[in-house]
Amino acid sequence: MNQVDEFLRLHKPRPADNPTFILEVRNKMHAAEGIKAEVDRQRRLSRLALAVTLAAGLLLGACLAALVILFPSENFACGADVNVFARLSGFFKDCSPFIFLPLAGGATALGLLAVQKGSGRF
Amino acid sequence: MSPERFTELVRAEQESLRRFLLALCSGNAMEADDIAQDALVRAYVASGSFLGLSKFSTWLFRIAYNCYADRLRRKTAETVPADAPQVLNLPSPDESDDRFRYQRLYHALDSLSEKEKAVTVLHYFEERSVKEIASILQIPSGTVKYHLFNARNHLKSLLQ
Repeated sequence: MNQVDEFLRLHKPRPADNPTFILEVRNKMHAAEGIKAEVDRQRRLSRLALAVTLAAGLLLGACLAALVILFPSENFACGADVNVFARLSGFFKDCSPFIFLPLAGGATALGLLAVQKGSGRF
Repeated sequence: MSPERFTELVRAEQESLRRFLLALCSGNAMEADDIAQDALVRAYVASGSFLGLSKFSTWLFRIAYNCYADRLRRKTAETVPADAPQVLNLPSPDESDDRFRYQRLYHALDSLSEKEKAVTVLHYFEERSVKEIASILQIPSGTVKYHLFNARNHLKSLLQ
């Protein structure tokens, strides 16, 4: 084995001097920095868009729920079955905390999950 | 990690890293430097994920080896049509001298498998421990010893 060891130790390669090597690496790092900043900006924007969508969805849902609960069914004059609305309204009045709280919680959790997945952290 | 700090760390490791890749690329200095730069940029981009669980140089060598393996895989996947004109990648005069000087070494290293080659280069030229080599190549220590044993036997028969 000594012959192999000696041969390899004697023939240790020596890279040629390349004074521009670090400079080239720095230039490439600078370019990568620009790309990274742009990707981060896009990611931040998409996260913000997701959060705004979630908030808008919750707000809209809350408004609709409030509309259903607060307004009497006879106000609907679009030819729909008034009794159905009355029954729905009554149902929501009784069970609104049990329905909307889990719904809102679920939507928030989904939104958070989506944001975390979107950020691509690992 | 700030660019200045990263450059400082890289400056200390660059010769060793370039030698490692030069030996893996069988003396093709241009390709070795290209892979080294690619690896350093990748390392810089991922420097936020460096937790300091291993030495910086080990982490850097792991990225460099992965870059080399990627390049090798791409090269193997690229099929050149038989009637395509041959383009020679002519080395510079200095590079030719170096290649000639180390011809026997590169010939011997080329006869080894990729893993054996990497293990041999890391052990003999970079003087890395088995544990470090295992961490760089992401293989168990026992496999490193096995590759080293095989490479030694192969080189011994080749040099006799």
